[in-house]
Amino acid sequence: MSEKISNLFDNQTDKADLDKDIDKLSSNHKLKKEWSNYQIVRDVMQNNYSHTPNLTEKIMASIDKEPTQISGYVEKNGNNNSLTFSFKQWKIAASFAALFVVGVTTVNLSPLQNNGSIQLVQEDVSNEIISKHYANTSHNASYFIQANFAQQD
Amino acid sequence: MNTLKVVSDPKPVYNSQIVQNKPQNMDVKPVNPERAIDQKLVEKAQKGDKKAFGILVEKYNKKLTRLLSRMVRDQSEIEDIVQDSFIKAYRAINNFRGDSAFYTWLYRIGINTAKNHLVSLGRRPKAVNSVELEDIENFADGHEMRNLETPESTMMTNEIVTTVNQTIELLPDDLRQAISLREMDGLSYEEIADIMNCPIGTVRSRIFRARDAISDKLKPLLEKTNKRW
Repeated sequence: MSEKISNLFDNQTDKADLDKDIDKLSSNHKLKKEWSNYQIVRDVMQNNYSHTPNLTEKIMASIDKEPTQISGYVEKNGNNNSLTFSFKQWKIAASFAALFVVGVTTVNLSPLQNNGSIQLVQEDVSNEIISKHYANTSHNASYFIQANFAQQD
Repeated sequence: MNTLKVVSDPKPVYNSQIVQNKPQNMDVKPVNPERAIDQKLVEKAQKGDKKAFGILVEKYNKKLTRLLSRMVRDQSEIEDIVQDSFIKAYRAINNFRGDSAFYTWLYRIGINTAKNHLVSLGRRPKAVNSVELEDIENFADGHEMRNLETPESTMMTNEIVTTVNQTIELLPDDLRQAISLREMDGLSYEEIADIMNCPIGTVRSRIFRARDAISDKLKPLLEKTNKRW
């Protein structure tokens, strides 16, 4: 495996193996040490090395406390086409679909549409009672319309 | 002293014979192997893989430390700024689209973090005048950092440099040539295969064996120095 890490270090890995090799590198402490040593060799040979403390563990302890970052980023060279939705887009589409279903269900269950007509409690109400009732009642529109129907009948 | 000779001479003796063997018409370009892998690691981090981001931290924390030492003198302050910079980079990783190299982007974050840190302390940020951000990929930072080294870190630097160079000198010729052409001359595996007149698989193997041999010699030394730090 170390030879693959050496290839990976020089970007000589086959594209097909790149994911697999990176996964192995990121999950194997020994391989990470090898990678780090290869970097030291490169720095020394390029006359560019000076010893500084390795802060990786300290930094990663802080990163582990951070919420995991997940994006809806679609790979540029990947299977990028019009049918590929990001996670964020799916969430928006799902919200609209849910609203639509709730709306349609509510409209279908409306009592006005189900019954089709207004039922009168009592048909033979005298005009005198109706006039007194108007005088005492508040101006509630729906109630007024219903009462008006009753008056016409 | 062996180490001082290496530091002052950018082309050690073991490389000169190889350069003579290089075809005259070959266009020698420095290789930038990191960028494609970095992009892959960023994509994995964007999908929630923190370990992939860990590799980027491993790769660049020392380099960022050296860069920021141009602006901030105190070692503990530099370490805090480096840590903050990586945390900021992680939080903003979804905004990275690969328009520039990852480390160019990271260094911008680092420099801004250092500037803000200095301003918060009422100090004037030191300009990074000799390093253009656009050219940061080719930034050679070792000499700058050497001015800031403590006696202990200077000693460790010298030990490591000496160990690497002595191990290279003891390598078989084919391994030494392969690793030198790769690391010092920045040639691709294909170019090395042409020069050494061998298959590319052999080049891969030679470079790996050279690295492995040097790494083996470094391990006890690095364990010792890590304990000291």
